[in-house]
Amino acid sequence: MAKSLTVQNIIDDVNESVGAASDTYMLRLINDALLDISEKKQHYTKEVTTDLKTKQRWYTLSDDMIDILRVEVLDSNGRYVMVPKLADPHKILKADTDSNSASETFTDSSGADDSLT
Amino acid sequence: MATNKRTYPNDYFVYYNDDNRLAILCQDITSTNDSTSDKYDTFQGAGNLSGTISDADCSGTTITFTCSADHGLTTGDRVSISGTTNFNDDNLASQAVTVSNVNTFTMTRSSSSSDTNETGTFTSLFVDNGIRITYHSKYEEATATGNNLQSDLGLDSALHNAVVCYVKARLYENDEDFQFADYFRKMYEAKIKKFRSRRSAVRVLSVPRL
Repeated sequence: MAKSLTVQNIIDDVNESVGAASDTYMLRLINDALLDISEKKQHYTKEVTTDLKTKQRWYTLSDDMIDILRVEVLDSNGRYVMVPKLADPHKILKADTDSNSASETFTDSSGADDSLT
Repeated sequence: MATNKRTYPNDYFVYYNDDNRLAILCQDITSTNDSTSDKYDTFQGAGNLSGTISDADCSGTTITFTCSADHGLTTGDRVSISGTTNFNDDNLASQAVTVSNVNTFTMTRSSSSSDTNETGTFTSLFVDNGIRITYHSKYEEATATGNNLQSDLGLDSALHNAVVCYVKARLYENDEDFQFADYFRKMYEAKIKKFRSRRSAVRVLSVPRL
């Protein structure tokens, strides 16, 4: 089984072979490496949940999302059911409005999207 | 399109997204004037949390609702109140709640009142944890030297040496030792290229010829 490294292991390894660098700089380089790898290999998957709110259309996506694999909605039996992606919303949706009846919905959709936690 | 296998509120849901936001829609099944002419509209169903209000008292514009059991709400959640005489939705300034404790929350009335001892019900205007998204993520950010690359940052152990090579390449570049920098850069690229990002199962049964 492959040995799992810590940041300190990498710092020690690099200090031994290349020369000493500050921990702060090493952390920056390691984070650069992680970003570069995540661009090349989409391997790390995560799941997040949030409330499905009445009369709220838009939900803010977090910066760490690269691409969405699956969206599920909780059904009335307490099970998550996968929902399809609307491939051509511009054809089906005549106007991108949340509702024509409730004023607070407009506020929600423009400035207070629910965050995915 | 999803089939209508389950009961509302998940009839014919769809989603779409742009770079920053995700839109959840469901098929417009209403026939009232509130309905738009679009085939899909914003979700307008009821939530999945509800409860009995055993006591509602108003002081000024602040209404304190006491429930007969844990309400399961958090501050900022929106609920609909019904069954009371003076504290139903049309009397409220907003439908957002402020949670006091597990069975008490407060709301604001649009005008002051001193009515007390009312009873009714509340229903949430959201489905608690009603959306789940699975996505490819960036790795977690390393913030301390004690961080484990696999368990804390999510990086597969097969890629740990690639990180070492990347860091060395960058440090040699800084020292203007481009020969070593190029060597470690190529090592890094090779390790990334060779890494199998999907764990695949056996797809066919191998039947020997008899």
